[in-house]
Formats: sequence, structure tokens, C-alpha cells
Amino acid sequence: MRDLKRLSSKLNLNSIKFITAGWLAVSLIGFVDATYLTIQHYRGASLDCYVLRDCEEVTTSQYATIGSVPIALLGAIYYLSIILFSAAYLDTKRSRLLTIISILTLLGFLVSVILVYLQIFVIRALCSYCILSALASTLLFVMALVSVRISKK
Amino acid sequence: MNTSPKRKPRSGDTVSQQSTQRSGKQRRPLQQEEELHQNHLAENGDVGGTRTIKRVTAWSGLLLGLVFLVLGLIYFTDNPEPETAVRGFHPVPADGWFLGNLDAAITLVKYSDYQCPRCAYYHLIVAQLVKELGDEFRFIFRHFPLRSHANAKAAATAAESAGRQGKFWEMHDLLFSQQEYWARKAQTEAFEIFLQYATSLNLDVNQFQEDFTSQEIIDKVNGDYQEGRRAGVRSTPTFFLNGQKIMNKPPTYEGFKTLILETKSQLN
Repeated sequence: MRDLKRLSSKLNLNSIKFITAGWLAVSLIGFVDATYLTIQHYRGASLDCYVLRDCEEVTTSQYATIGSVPIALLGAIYYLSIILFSAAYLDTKRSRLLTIISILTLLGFLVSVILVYLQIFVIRALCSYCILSALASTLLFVMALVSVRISKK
Repeated sequence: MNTSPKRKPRSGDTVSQQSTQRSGKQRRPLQQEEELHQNHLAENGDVGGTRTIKRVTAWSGLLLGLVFLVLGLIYFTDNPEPETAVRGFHPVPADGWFLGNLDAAITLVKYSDYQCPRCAYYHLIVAQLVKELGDEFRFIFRHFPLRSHANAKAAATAAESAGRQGKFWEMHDLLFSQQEYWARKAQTEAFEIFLQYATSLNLDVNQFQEDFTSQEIIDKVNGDYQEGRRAGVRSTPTFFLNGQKIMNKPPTYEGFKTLILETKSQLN
């Protein structure tokens, strides 16, 4: 019975390790995306975007910055922090890091919901880079939910 | 990263370690993880040096990788392709559009898209520069309609078609000043708007329509775009000052004026 418990616990831990690797991979994609948008913002350059082609309307709108800080830069910092916290968890196995990551992904997801709402209903334009970022933060949040569920077992 | 296998209790463990592991029966996995963390530290205590080296290497690799990633993004999203970049180019072509002093030693080239909001913003700066410093430099306009802008190519074609009747710059100004009105319209609707602009500029509308579909004009717009790609243009607007791409565009008229006057003083 104890062996079964131990096996189950080991499986859970392996699942969490797998999720952490997923966080690392997805946040890396989000980081590249947000960093590219930040670079183009500071260059003052337009974006050559595909599929959802209203990048220009979105990234030059009043909602693209908070004061003089581009939202893309905040996004890059957010993804970078998830990368670093995930790597730190893989290194130290400290459960507190999982809690921090889960809270961060919840915040990221909420911000993404607001930004997608602004794109659809206020700016009425969709930007492929922004949607990619919204998908990444949603995926990070879903993985956080799964990790919380596994941890509670 | 630390990927060493989880440790089982051993006979040599301290009492506190064993009791900690046994009491895991009632504990939740997260707490067990904390124990695992402690066990990892205890277990690797004898090979602490190796472990520290591994950790330092892994973290350094990650941080260096991130730094290179950012630098790569900066480099590859802007750097012109060296083998195809046109160096020191931009003589005024016979069919090119220019303003200012044709004989000036300073040439400012703008690759622009009529549908891009920042291009419209810089259009106002350039217009003021030409008005105030028109004797000091020549301004050359090149088309760079982004594929992401559905009406940009048609707008460039409309400007060229107006140019056939001597009113390129009038159409150019109109397209930028009215950008918000036509930019988001469907392509057929945008074309109707361009016809209205042609009428308002007293152009021969039949001729304008004929020129709008002429292969020669389409080739000219495509030619500008291809030339821009070869010169390293990746976004709009992109400016070249005497053949050098302006990497950080000044966001104000004053900034551009300073740039041009500095170039002039360097030439003298």
C-alpha cells in the first residue's frame, strides 16, 4: 500500500516536472514573440505580419503602451520570469516556486483576456503576434491548473 | 538542471530523515517535494563541488542563451542581407519621385506604405522638412506596400497613376491625410474612394483607371518594393540618409532637422 502511495507520488512529481518543462518551452515562445514586438516598438518600425493582419492598428493604438512603457516589454518581462522560475524549480524542486508560477500565470491569463477583449471590441483589429502571446499565456495558465490539481492529489 | 533520481530511505539515514520520509504517508505531495529537495541537498552533500559546477553551468547556459536570443532577434529582424544590400545607392531614378533640391549633396530616401499609421506620421515631418530645409537636401519617395495592408498596394498604384497626369504629390498628400478613412475599407470600396480622389484632383478619371491597371505601374511599385528588400528594408517607414539606413528614427521634426544639418556639416 505504501509502495503504491510512493509510486503515485513519484508519478505526480514526474508529471509536475513535465509541466515545468512545458512552462519553460511555452514561455520561451512567448518571450521571443514579446521581445520582437518590444524591439520593433523601440525602433519605431511597422510590422510585416501574417494571418491576422492588423498588427499595425493594434501596436500603434493607445492601448499598446502604459504611459511610455510598451505592453510588449511587460510581456517579455513576464515570460522571462516564468522561464527563470521554471528553471529554478527544475533545479531546486522547491514547491513554493510552483505556487509563484501559478499565481503569475493567472495574472498573465487575466491580462491576456483584457488585451484580447480590447482587440476584438475596442480596437476592432487582431494582431497575430498578440494572439500568439495570448495563446501562450492561456496555455501557461492551463498547465498551472493541471499542476495544482496534480499537487492536490 | 538537477535531474538526479529520487532517493529511497537507506539504513544509513539519520533518524530524523527516516521519520520525515515515513510520515509522508499523510503528507501532501508538495510537502513531500520539499522533503525531496532537502534529501537532494543532503544526498549531494558529498559531491557538492560537482553539483555546484553543474548548476552554475546550467544557469550560465540558460542566461547566456537568453542573452544571445535577444541579440539574435535584434540582429536578424533588422540587419540587411550583406550579399544583396545595395551600398551607397539612391541616385534619383528617371521615374522616381523627389522633392527639395535635386542638386543637394544630401539625399533622404523614405520607403513607405500609404496604409501604415507611422508612415502618415512621418509624412508630416518630411513635409515640414522639405518646406523649411528644402534647399539643403533632396527627398526621394519609394513604395514599400506591406503585404499585411490590404489596400496599401492599390494606394501606391493610385499615387503612381495620378503621377502619370502630373499629380503624384497631390495624391500622395491626400492618401496620407485621409488614411484613416480608406485604410480599413474593402478593396473595391477603397478603389472607389481613390477614384473620388482622382476626380477631386481634376484628373482624367478614365485615364486614371486605365493607368491603375497598367502593368508598367504595377511593375514600378513592385520594383520599389524589391529594391527596398535588397537594401534591407523590413518595416515601414524606413529612411536612408545618404545611403545609410537611419537605425533610430528621430520621432520629431527637430530631431530630423538636426540629423540633416549634422550630415551637412560633416560633408563640409
